[in-house]
Amino acid sequence: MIRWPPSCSLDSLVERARVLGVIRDFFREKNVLEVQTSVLARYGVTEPTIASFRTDSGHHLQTSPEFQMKRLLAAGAPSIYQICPAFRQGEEGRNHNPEFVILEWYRLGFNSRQLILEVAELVDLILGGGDYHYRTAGQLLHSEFGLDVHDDSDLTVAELARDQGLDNVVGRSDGVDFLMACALQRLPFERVFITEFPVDQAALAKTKHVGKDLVADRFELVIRGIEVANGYHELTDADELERRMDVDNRERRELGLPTLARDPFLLASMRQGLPACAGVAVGLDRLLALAGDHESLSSVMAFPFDRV
Amino acid sequence: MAAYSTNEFRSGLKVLLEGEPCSILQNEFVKPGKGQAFNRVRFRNLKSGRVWERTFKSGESIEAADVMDLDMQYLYSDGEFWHFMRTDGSYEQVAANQAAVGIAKDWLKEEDVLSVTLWNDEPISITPPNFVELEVTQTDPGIRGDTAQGGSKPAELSTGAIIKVPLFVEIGDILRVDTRNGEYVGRTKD
Repeated sequence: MIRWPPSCSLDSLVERARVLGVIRDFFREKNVLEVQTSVLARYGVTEPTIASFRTDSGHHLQTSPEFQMKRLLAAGAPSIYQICPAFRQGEEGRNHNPEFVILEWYRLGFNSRQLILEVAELVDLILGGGDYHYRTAGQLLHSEFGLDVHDDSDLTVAELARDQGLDNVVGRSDGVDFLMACALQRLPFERVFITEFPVDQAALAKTKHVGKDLVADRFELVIRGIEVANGYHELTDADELERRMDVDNRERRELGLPTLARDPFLLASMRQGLPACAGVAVGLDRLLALAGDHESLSSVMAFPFDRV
Repeated sequence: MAAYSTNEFRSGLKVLLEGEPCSILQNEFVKPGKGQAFNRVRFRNLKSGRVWERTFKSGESIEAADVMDLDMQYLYSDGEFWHFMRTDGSYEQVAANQAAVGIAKDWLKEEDVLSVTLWNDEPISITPPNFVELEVTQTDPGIRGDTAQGGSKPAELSTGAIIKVPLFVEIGDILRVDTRNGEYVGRTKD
């Protein structure tokens, strides 16, 4: 029989509606403006590990609302938030669905620390209060595997990844990504903010010096081993962003992936001036699954990918 | 030979891993927010029965294994090989060695139909039905009328298997046995 009914219970849809209300009340009280931007865009993200869906017209379905939201900030918008669908090709599993819902917000003048506290405040409203622990990415990789992520050689990274069961390690980032994924699933605490990522994982975050090491001013919230939020002290330097996009495209070529044009709308808006801000994206479906103690996103989504 | 990419991995898929035929048990997609995606996969080695875990980068491929599960009738054992015949009317026979038959030999009764796993047309494992009926060939004398719970004794079955049975069971009784745990289920005739 064709599986036409929703994969989640009706109670789960009621819970989703309630949480959406909680989120909207939370931001209304803080005077953060709700916005809607376009899902369909002419330019995509250059990051090689993110694959967008393309339409016949060559447009991309957004993999995140980040670029357009930043253009609003550059145009003078106050702090803003958005709840919207995002799409990533090939990401399917218990904790992944190719279409998912992002809650993303930007706070003018905030640094990472301030935004981390606000994320915790919102998560407490949805999951109930809890303790938050803090680890830098470097501390985590060192305590789990004895790896010094900033100084150890590529060979050491590859050997450690092989020890953890990854057979075919090609580049340094393969190994670091894998060790990180392993470490996240073994965290000894329920809620952990991971901070200070290796610079090659900076994406759109500022970098900063901590002692002798240059790190990305980026954070993630991991709850019960699942990544729930990813935040940046936002990069505002358009030239630096252009350089990073070029690096992405070089990697894309090495991997045999199509290169992507740098989004000229975003770059022009940043040249005009993106105000100092911090921003974060929360995987709303994952948060709902955690709130309901569900094993899989399909228990909180009406129609996951195998039913559409 | 065909190959499967990680995004085609499903439980039950038969593949070659380190030259051994395996069945995929579980495939978990793991992707850190920024970074390469991985598939953490659990396999059952179809020859040894052991479970293996391997991690692949998403998009990698592994070779398919030519593995088939066939219903076949058990004919006889010549001491070295166990002989099975296809039930599709072809009367084609295969001979399985000790390694392939494994502990299933305790439950093989002539003419029973069971599942034989073939890899490149060679039998590599035998799965008996969940329940088989076998005759008791040896056990201590029964205590007639004692059908109360509690108390058990060993009994040898026609296949040579030894299982625990209630005290009232006697030589010549036909017993129903669960082959998955080797437990006595009941008597089929008094």
